[in-house]
Amino acid sequence: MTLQPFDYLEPKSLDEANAALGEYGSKAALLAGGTDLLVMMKSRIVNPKVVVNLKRIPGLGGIAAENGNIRLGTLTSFLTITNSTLIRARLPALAEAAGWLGSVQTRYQATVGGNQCRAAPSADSPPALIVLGAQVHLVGLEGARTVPLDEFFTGPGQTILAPGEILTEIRVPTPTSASGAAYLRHSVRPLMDLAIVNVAAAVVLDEEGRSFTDVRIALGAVAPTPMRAQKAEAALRGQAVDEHLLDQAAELAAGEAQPISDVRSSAEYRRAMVRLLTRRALDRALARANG
Amino acid sequence: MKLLVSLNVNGQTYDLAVAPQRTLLEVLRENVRLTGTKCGCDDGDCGACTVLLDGVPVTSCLVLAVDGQDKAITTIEGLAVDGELHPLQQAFIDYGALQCGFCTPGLILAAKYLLEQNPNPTDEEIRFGLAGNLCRCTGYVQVLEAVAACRVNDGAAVQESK
Amino acid sequence: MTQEFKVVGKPLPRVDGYSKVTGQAEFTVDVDLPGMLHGKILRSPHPHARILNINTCAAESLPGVKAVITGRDTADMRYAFVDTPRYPADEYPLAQDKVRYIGDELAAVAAVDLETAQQALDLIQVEYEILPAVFDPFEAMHPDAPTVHDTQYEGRSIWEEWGAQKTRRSEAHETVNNVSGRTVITYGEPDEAFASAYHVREDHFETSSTAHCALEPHAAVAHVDPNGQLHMWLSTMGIYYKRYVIAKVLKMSTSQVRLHKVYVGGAFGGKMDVFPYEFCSAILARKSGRPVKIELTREETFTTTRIRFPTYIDIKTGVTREGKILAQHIRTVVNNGAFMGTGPVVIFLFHGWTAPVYSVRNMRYEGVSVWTNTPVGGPQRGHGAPQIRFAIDSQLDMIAEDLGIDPAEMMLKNVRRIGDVLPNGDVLNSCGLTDCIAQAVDVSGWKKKRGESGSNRAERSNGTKRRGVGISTTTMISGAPYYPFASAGIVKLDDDGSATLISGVVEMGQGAETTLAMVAAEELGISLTDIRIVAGDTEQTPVDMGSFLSGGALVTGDAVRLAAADAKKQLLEIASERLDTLVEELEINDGTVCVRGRPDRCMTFGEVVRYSIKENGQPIIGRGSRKILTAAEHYPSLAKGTGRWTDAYGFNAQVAEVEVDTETGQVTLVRATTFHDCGQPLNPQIVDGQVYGCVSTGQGQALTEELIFENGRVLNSTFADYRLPTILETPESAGEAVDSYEPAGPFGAKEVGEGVIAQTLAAIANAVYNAVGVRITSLPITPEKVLAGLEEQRNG
Repeated sequence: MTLQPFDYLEPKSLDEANAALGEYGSKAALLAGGTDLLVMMKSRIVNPKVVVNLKRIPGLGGIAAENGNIRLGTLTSFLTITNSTLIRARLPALAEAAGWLGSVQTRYQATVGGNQCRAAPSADSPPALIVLGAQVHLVGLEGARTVPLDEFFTGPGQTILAPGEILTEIRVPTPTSASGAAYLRHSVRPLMDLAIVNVAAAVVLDEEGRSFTDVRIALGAVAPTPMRAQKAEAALRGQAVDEHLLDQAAELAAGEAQPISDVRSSAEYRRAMVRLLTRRALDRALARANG
Repeated sequence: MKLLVSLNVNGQTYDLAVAPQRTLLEVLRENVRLTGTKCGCDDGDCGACTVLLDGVPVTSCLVLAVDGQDKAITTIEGLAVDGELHPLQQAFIDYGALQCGFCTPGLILAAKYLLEQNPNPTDEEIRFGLAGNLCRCTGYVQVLEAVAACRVNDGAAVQESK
Repeated sequence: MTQEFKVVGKPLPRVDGYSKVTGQAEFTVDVDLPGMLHGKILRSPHPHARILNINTCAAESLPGVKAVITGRDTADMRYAFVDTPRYPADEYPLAQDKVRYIGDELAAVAAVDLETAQQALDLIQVEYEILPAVFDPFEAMHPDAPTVHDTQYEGRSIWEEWGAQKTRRSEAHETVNNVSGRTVITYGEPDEAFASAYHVREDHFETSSTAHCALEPHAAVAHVDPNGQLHMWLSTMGIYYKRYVIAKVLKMSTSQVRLHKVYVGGAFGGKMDVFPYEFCSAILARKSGRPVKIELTREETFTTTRIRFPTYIDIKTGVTREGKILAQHIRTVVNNGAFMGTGPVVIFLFHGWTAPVYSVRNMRYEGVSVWTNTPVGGPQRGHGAPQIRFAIDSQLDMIAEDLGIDPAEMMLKNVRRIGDVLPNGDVLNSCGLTDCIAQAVDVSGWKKKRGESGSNRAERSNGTKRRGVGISTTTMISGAPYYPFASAGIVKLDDDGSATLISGVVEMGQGAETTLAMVAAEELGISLTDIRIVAGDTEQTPVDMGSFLSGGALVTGDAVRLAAADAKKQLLEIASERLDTLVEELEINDGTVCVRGRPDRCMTFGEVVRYSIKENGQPIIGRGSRKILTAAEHYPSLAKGTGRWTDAYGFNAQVAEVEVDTETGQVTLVRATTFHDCGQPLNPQIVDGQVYGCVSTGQGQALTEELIFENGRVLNSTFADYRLPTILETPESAGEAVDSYEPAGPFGAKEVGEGVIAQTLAAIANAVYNAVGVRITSLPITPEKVLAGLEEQRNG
């Protein structure tokens, strides 16, 4: 359906944007790439009276490495991420997640900040960013705060963003050389489908490269929000790398997942894919850690 | 409340008053009156509405017209220069890569971007580059042949991939 | 028969290529008229409800709204594709007493813009009495199920002027709740034949609903001019058919309605029916006095136009020890949804797609179409062929395994050959089935991949990804009798020696304009670049059978050839007069007429035309026409399957090679080897394009496409969740047209473009079985089903 009329604002600074959100509250929506917001507005799922376009605010884009962090401006497009030599070299799991996100058209328009704020359970980048230890920087009327990404999501389409708050940046600690991460997604059509299941895994190995000092596994599309497979992680953390254990971890992850049956897939199938993809993601993360 | 926008389409400037809720697709078709860009789903899922913004393909049904300001917009009508078809347009004709023609403009623009980024794409790279453009008529085989024929090395690689 | 042609048979570029690659080609959605209004339709949110009251006052007073209509405005407008005494028409443009599915049309508005039209819809108040609904055809047949059509439809058929019977020709079958159509066809002695069979199998198959997914949404523009003529621009497959129905239903004469030329952005069967939104655009145009455009949203196109019939098939087949089919008993049930659509037709067609392929002397076929409160079924590429071929060739593969023989060999034992006469009287004057199968087997590497025996008993490979091959065959008609029963062509020569072909054909991507121009050029003796085509306008072009009965090549092609031949005859007569010789002494080469062997005694076409006009004031205008079916006097009987219905059949065989990922259950179509008999391919590049398109749609409908319903609601009516193939899914393709010649068609040509799809489903299902030993008998073959099948296998 055609979009319903709305008032349109193009703030030139973050303060202006915060103020606009503060004034209009839930009647306002933030526009970044538009690939989610406009779709939802056309289906009448959301009906904002005011649309606030973030794209004229300087300083919200770009990728930079500083102070042991890789910083992604909220408006950074997924196309920029897939093309970035820095991301491909240091955060290949994120490049993977970005590369599978729809068509080239979608990747150009969609932003990494928008992908978090839309909080779709099957979104591609959240699981990858979560296992990479990402934090999000939120700027609101009361000030700014930084929150770990895996605490950001509260439900399907819901986040901890307070009224007036804007996600301005995502910060990922630069991975150490003994670590590796991977992202995998499963869908019927490899591109263009929403993920039926997605899994990201990050591992940090000890000096000899034979045991896990840390493991993070994030599952998408199998719970109301992207979730950490904590039992699976606990089974591996501190343990020696072992075939059997990896299988067990995959099994645990499958058990922890809370998949539903919907138009895209069945709960049973999703669970089976969690098991398969968790094992594969761990294998790939290990290969990167060792390589 | 309408806003004044200046849209640069195929090198020409159009000064328009548009309501903020109008999409770039609607404004191109109805105000600028270039109907080569098509609406297949209005949801960003089919690619028929693809135009180039500063040379990069977007689904114009998900771009607000006001967001087209300060960008160079290229539609299918802007590809031929002085009546001379772009090599991709000619290749689509030569290889039979079109049937009903509805998805064709979007497909050609997406292919144009692909070849500009990667003048010698492999078969797989062509497929990934065009995955956002649906076609129900052609089954894509002749589309792949047409795009491959526009590779920098004059399509010699086409023989290999066959 | 190999023939040498100058134009036909060459991969010449399409005549509409330039306008399509530059975005200039005009589609219905591009039509823009001064003062044009935008229309929208109010649709039922309930699958079954009585309409107690509709209040449109608020909508009518909304500024910008120029007309509002409801069922009251369409009370005397009953119509349907099938409209006979046995199957009276069951549709109205806007609902009368009840709404019968989610999406059923109740009202329509025309306003200055879409936004206002949408607001107006929101202001229409409807009081419903919700009725119990039924969604499953088997439940619907219970006497206690809600009755979808509890009205007796009376009144005249709009087809009576064209010979539609006023009374039934044969006995009615017993009435069963919600059964909209029944077909029973028997011949031979099936019971005896089953009793004498070496082996008998009974199997059940089911197929899902799928969508056409033409990229251009359904759309209509209507405008009434000051003389009262109704002008329409429709995204459609048959302008004469639509003109007739719209005129009759609106109580106008056919000449008062004009359908204008537009290119159509794909149809695949989904734009054949006359739709409520088309009637509404016309009625709103009349009421408002302004042009009205209605463009359906993608969701509306998915859910409120037509879908492929979900089908339930039971087949019992008896064979000899060697695999010769002795008898078949086939039962089909289709859910036709809230209206008949082509339900009574498709149940007839299932048998129609069976008889021409394998020779089965003893047959009992029963088909039933059923009303339910779901979207309506209609023709979709293959129109029943994909479903029935899936069942027949999956079972054939199973029988072959039971017997320990190669299914391709079994097919060869049973396929029809040239000269066969079908049970209904159709004669196969061309039939390349044997060649198609043999070449598909050869080129695909069948024996290497299945083992020398070709049977399914060969060892399967190990590894997580396993490959397999499967085979299937199919057929398609080349035109069938339906209004307007004929196609015609006009060829006029210009004084520069070039020609214009005038044809009523609709170009919807299938390459009709190019192909017909090539036929005319070949017949005349000029090149494709010297002929232009004017097509698709009911006022400016002659009658055409429409592009929905697969008769474009054979019927319309032949009409065009005859028109060109007529122009050539006139040309030769005038030239013979001018050159003072007999017509028999003349020959034509590249637009020049010469006395044979005398290059000094020639005239160019231009010279002949100019001479004719100066001397006799006579331009050269050729005309030709062809009846769709040369011999038949009336429609075939849908209920009994008797009566001839086509002059020629296209045939195909396909070997599909798949790779099954045993960890995810995903099936990838790796390679499709398709050999087809289309007689003489008129333009091989266009023919290839049709084959590739069919393979792609077949692949999608076998593996990933399915409309998912819940209580009558479609859950996946977007391109995101309805998974048609993207370019990534494209398989390798091999194959070509086999050598064949159809005497009834122009230069030996017959159908291509609709048949190929039907075999892909069984070929893939059989390939999956060959790969991993999992037999899937319901479509689509989803990863879930395959994984579940593998799991079952592991558990023994």
